[in-house]
Amino acid sequence: MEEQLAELAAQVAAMEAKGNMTNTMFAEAYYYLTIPLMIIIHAGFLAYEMGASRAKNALSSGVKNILAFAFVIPAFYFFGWWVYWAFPTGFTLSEGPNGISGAGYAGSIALAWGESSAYMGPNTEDQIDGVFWGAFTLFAATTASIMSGAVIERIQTVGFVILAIILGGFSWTLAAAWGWHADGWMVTQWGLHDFGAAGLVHAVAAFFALGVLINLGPRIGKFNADGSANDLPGHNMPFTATGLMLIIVGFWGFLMACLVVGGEAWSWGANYTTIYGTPTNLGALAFNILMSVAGGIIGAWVMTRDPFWMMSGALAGIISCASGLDIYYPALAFIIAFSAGVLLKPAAGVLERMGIDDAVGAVTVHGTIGIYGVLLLGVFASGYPAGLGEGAATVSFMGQLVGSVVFVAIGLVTGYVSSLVLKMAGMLRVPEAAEIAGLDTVKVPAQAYPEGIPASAPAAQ
Amino acid sequence: MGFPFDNGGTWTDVSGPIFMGAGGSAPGIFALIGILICIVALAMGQKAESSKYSKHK
Repeated sequence: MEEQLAELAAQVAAMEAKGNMTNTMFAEAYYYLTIPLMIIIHAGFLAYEMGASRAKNALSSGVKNILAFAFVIPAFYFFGWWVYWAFPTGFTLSEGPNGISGAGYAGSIALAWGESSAYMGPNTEDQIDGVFWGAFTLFAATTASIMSGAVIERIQTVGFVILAIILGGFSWTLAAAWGWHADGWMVTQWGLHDFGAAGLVHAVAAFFALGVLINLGPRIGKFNADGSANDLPGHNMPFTATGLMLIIVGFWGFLMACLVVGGEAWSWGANYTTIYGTPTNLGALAFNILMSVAGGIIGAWVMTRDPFWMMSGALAGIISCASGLDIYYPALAFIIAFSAGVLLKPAAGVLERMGIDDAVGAVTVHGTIGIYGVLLLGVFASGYPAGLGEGAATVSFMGQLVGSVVFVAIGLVTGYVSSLVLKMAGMLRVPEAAEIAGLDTVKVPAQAYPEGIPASAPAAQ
Repeated sequence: MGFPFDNGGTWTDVSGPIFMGAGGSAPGIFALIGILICIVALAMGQKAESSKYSKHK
């Protein structure tokens, strides 16, 4: 009998070990698959921005996107990952209540040299850090792509890459440490809830772009002497609209990566949670992302009838609900996204009347709508616990407002200061003659359309 | 650089970091070289870009 019991116990232990390994491999594969999904975002931004550029700048805009992607990756490996783990409690770099933050902790897991390097390369005992890092790196690259569209057709390539490194390696990472980490001071003290990064990715990147745009100035021909604006349409609307749809496809991976898989030593529990440890699941995302995409498109269609704004409305719909995709009721998500779609073009008009030439509406779609979403969550989710366990701060409008102000400040200040330094160094804007000639002719050793582009039918009035 | 495990040159019972140079100074040296490559690439890119603009002033 004892032998049989011992044999049974051994079998149970073996089954448990296999179950645990299956869970570990699932968790690893889960985050791994978010990486190629998020790369689709960059395919989308590439198509979107090349299409939104005039033909003379099409490839130059693409080169910018490709290089931002390439340089943000090593930047996030060499220092961005460390910033995320070092800064949650603020500039003191001290350890937070969960013991997974501060300079000491970051130095033990997130540096590419010394003993910490064990977690920054192939390791048979670590099946999570590589894929976590990969997913976060793609978040970082996404911020650079958000900024990229706003500044097309007149920014210098290397100057832009330096800005992308600062934004992707530091600015958004600081915001993520403060507002997207269990030890983040905005979470523990203010109950900030920004599940899908409407503020800490979208708004930070957009206001960084605004800071750059202030120093960069508008494209030649954008504004008349009386301050009125001219439309400078891109050369390929179908390419732009398809690119926007690809971005939306990629955002399924982005938002999927915002979940914490359950059942592991680093998990919050047995099931999916948010990064804050609060409960959610993939079903919540399926409901709310689809409803917010639909609401955004319909809202923009009602206002504009324009496919560019309709697809931008889809993106705005997701962003407006991103902070609460884990807890919104789908019909409410639809309403909020619809309102974002309606607001989109008028909000872009306000920026234009201020003399800001945001070539693709990035500041509006990601910044204005991002902050709109962060604040609305404070209205609808007020009273929800922001963390797991007793004593967690609760979501409030004031907490979301504090978070919004911090996100705007991080983006705007770092974007403005870094672009000002580049401007003083003569590395921000291309010379006037180069801008007029077209940047492809000036610096790209390839031709976008060697056989020309046939003209399409005129637009409806 | 060699196999970093002293167990007869097999993968048997190998666990932990398995990358080349694990446990030594190599990762830091590689990281430093990687950072320098990024900086030099940007400097060279800036030089090339400036020369293109000089023809369109």
